[in-house]
Amino acid sequence: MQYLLNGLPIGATYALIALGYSLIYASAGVLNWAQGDMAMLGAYLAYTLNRIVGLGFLPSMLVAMACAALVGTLVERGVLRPLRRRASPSINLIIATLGVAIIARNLALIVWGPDPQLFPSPVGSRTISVGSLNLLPQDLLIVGVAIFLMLLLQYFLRFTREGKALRAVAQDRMAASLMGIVVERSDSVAFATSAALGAAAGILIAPLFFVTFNMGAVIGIKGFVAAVVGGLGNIPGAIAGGFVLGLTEAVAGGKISSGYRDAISFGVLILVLWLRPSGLFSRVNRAKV
Amino acid sequence: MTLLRKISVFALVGVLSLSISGLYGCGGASQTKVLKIGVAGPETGGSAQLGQAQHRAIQLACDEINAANAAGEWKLEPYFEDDESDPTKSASATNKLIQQSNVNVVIASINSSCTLADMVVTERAGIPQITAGSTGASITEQGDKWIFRTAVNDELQANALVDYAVKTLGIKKASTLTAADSYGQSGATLLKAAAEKAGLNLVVTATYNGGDKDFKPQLLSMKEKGTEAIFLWGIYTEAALIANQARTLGINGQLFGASGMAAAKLIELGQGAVEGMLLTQSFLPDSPDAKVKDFVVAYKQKYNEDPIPHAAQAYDSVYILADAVKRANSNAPQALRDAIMNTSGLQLVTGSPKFDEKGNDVGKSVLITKIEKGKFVLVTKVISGQ
Repeated sequence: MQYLLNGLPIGATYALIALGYSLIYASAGVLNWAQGDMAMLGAYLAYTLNRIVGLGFLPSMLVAMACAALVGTLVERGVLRPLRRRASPSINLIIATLGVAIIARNLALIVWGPDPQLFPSPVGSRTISVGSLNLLPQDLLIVGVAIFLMLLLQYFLRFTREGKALRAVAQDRMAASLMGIVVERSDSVAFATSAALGAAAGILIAPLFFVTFNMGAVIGIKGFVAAVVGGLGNIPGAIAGGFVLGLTEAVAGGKISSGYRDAISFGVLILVLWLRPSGLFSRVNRAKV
Repeated sequence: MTLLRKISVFALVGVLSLSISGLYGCGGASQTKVLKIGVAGPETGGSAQLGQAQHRAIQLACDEINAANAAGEWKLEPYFEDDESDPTKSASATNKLIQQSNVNVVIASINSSCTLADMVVTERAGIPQITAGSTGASITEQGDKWIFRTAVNDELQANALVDYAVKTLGIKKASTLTAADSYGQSGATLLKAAAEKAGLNLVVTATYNGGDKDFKPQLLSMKEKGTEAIFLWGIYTEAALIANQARTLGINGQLFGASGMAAAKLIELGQGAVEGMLLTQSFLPDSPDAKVKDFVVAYKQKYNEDPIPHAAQAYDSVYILADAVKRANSNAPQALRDAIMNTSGLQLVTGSPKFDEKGNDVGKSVLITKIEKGKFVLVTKVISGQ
């Protein structure tokens, strides 16, 4: 039971990152390898605003998410759009995002230095004990905020103009553009939203795991695995994939072997790809987003 | 045609001989004898604080020795490379130091896996190497005659920690949580051996990968088996996370750690969770010893911070080299190596260095320290036996 409890907050952050991958994949048709580094960037920005500028946690988080969204838009406009206009194959686009990730990581190294930074939790670090179960207030905050953001995303996709446009582009890029939707604008929206979600994940996890310049690498890969397990491009699938991966890691790490934890979670990925190549949660008649 | 050729050959020969004599002239002019010391260490990455401390201490020691002519006619010239705690990068950094900077001796590295990679390079090149930071037992078990270790050997540390746990604290059931690299695994093996010797029951022996953030699964299984103490073997970032998560899970047992994680950053990141943690170290900045005091004052004056044990060990290593080059009066690798081997009678910051045939400094003392109110304080001193 405690294992499951430990897996939830981790799973929630994986789910947020996975959402970013799926959103971009569904609409723009590329993988954004800088997704994990958006989490790192968000965590550092929030850390700077909170610890050095002295803003509260919530304003810091919102500003950091907004900044990350801006960076996401810039990546789309400055890197992907020019490549796409030149009709580069999608592998080039994917490699370009990998380049963005490396640049982001090294910039962070220059700006914030190599040492991990402490980012205290806004809700304190007093353990809450229920029977033999223990958890931190931050764990609850992570799960709560993550679920809130997921609902917000659903609202955005279903009931706003931009969201509807995004879904239309995801369904059929060509048809959407014929219907008068500016698909490039839609790509920007997808990148901005994904970056903001990634930043939120990074900020939420920072009080537990510190802020480091290379935190994006691991969290990015895990988020990607979660997205693939849930079916790349599938929004509910990404959320489910995140939680499945978080819980698998927690249980496998505790009950089987901690040294093989990553091997087990990647083993799950291979198993899913083998049995259900389009992901656990894909329907036969696949509707993206 | 032939005339032109002759002229050009003449010109070429002339230019060559000029440049050769030029080179000679250069060599003749700078008759000061220089010992080039190559330093590889992690200046970025997970153990950056340790590598930066090593860099600063070596620079300080070289400056002091050169100013006081403490190495006779010899001047010390350090060359620094960053290895990012990565064995591959460490080996290429060492290679670069030897091939490009033509160093006579190498001080490398901090992470044991890096030091092992560097040893392949120095052994092939036949250049003496000192590690001032690596404690992994396997380093001096390779039969490599070029390696010397001025860090405290892990075996001593493991024995000191386990003995203290059993004899002084009366702990019976303990667990180990060690990094899955050569440093952590050598620690795990030594802790196991020490526990068997002292009659300590190890209920869980878990490992983690470098860069792991979530240790709750391992900690939970320790909690379920009723562990009274946890021995950690790794670096400070993970140690701080482990301490935080252990306290979150309601594990209040004694935490033990080895010198690899004894840094100010451990206390900063671990905050309340590392209070009361016991660690072995080779050096404490507030010791009353005169040598220690002088070093701490000089270091603080230059860098405006307290030196950590890695700094003290690196600083001592340079003094050992200064003494060796003075006695050998040569920077030839073999002569230098033999002189280091015969080091004796020096009184340095971390003890009186003396090397055994494997290259271990057996003149060191091990301090057991405790984190109290955010500071390392001395609990007891164990003089190294062998």
